[in-house]
Amino acid sequence: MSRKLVIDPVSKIEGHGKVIVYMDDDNQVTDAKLYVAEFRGFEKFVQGHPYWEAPMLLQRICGICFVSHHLCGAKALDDMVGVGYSTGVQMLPTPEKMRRLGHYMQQLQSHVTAYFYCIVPEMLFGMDAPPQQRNVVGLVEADPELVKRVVALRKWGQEGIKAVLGKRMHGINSVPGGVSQNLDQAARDRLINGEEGLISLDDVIEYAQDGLKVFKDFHAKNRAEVDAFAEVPALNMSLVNDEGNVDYYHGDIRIVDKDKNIVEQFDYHDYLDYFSEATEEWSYMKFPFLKSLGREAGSVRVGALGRLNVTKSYEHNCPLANAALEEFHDYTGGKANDMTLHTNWARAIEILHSAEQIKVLLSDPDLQKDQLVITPADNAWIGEGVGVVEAPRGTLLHHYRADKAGNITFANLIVATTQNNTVMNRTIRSVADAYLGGKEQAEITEGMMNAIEVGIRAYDPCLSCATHAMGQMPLVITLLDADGKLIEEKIR
Amino acid sequence: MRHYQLHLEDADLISYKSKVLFVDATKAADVESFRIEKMASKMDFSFSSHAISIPAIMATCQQCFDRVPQVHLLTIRGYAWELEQGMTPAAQRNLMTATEYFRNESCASGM
Repeated sequence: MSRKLVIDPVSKIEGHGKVIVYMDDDNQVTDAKLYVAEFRGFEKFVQGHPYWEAPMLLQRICGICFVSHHLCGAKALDDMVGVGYSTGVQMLPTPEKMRRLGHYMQQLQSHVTAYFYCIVPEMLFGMDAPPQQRNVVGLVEADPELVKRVVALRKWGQEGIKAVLGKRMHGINSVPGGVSQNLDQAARDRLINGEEGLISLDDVIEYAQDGLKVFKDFHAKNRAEVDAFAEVPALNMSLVNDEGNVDYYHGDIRIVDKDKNIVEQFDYHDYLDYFSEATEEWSYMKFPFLKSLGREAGSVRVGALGRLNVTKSYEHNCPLANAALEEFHDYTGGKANDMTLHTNWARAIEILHSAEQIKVLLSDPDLQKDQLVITPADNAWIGEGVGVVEAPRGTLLHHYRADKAGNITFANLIVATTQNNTVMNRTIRSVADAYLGGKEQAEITEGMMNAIEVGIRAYDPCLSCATHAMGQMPLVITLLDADGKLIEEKIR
Repeated sequence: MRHYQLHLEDADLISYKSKVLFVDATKAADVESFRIEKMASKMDFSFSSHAISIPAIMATCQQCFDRVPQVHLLTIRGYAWELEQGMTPAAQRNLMTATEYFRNESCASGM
């Protein structure tokens, strides 16, 4: 009798999804799918709004990576008004550095949230630990000093976002052609030196190193399990600068294979020439792929692991992150790393990289200068723009068109989680195979349920790119036979 | 301080205060207009990435910062939350009543 295993909803990720694992008569896994049954419709309801509202409206897709949506939209608006990268205009130094600084602040904040709130508890307590322990509140009881540092890190990140973007959430600093304010000296000094109740930037860098050490200690003790967990192939994609290294704010899109050979590299404005999106009737999440390679071979991995597989090195003024990156690259002998749980290693390195980059930018006097906006010429209006940034979860794209009155007529968003859709499904399949495949009695255990979730959570997916409660949601696992008859059900 | 949602960092925020009043809307039918209650610290494992309870915030404050302020929760009855709707007249009355009560009585009651 063939069976299917349902995990609904998957917890501790952004948005709601469910997993169904299909099994045949011999208890072999025949398929595994991540079902995303939510529909948000942002691309539709932004139509008709004035073009300049787009970065403000669309950043509300997400309560975690709103800065990325805001900046991606702002870059598209730069194009639309005729002062963007599509016309070869180079943004002024102050606004570009302000935007980059805001982006690094958010990356720090977002990665710290995903890493310490969701992943570190699983590393410290183990996948089989009860859910009520396996979260950051469990950490409060087990290691209050660590939590104190996490709280301090998050607070510093929030204060940084507020200083740069104007608000702790859904900031308003980017405008077409630049930014509306610079960073004054007092705000800069406060972030660098800290104050009572706010750690210093050196503390941030120290805590980021602590975070990386947590992974390395865990890896040293559990090397075989970590490395063997869901090793799945995929191409790797990231924005890169002229040297071919990751650039979170701007650059070409580069895609590399297992041997780190460049499969494609192109200006992101031409994305429609390179990418297509497949749809499935069972999911609202699309499946992007490279046209040249087709749906399966042409799917990509984005996010921390994808970026570290693409980039060769970081900026010379980030010595700690560069050393960590070198160690990461050495581990796979220069080949791309396909080990899903190494995404958490990559994420910890990116926390450190963000902290070092923030230090570089905060030391730059351009942030205090007053040339904030390029004003477009009267006839500069183009009415179409594309923005791409490397959001914490991976490559994010916004594409808008507007009519002559400036009202939006078209919007297309490809978010990082969508890019990772195929590789996430591969990951689920791999984990299901390991835990269930071929066993005489396919038992639904807490550890097995969580292993599937851990596989998905490594990508820190934002299924709805929305803001609503989840985490300690009821988790229902149901085993059904091919006729839909209930065989077994477990609820936690 | 106005919040989008409670975060674990609020444990740090309240650690600097001696008295804290949380204010929130409620749709609980047993709240006629508004309710003020004293909160107790409790690690109730209510945490998710978008939600955490006030007792868990207090417990985190105690555990991490070795102190916890006196905390009250003011809940004000609301009736509808549709987009663009704004506050209903009944909810506005409840808010005004609660505000008035809080202004007049809070000092006397020692909150």
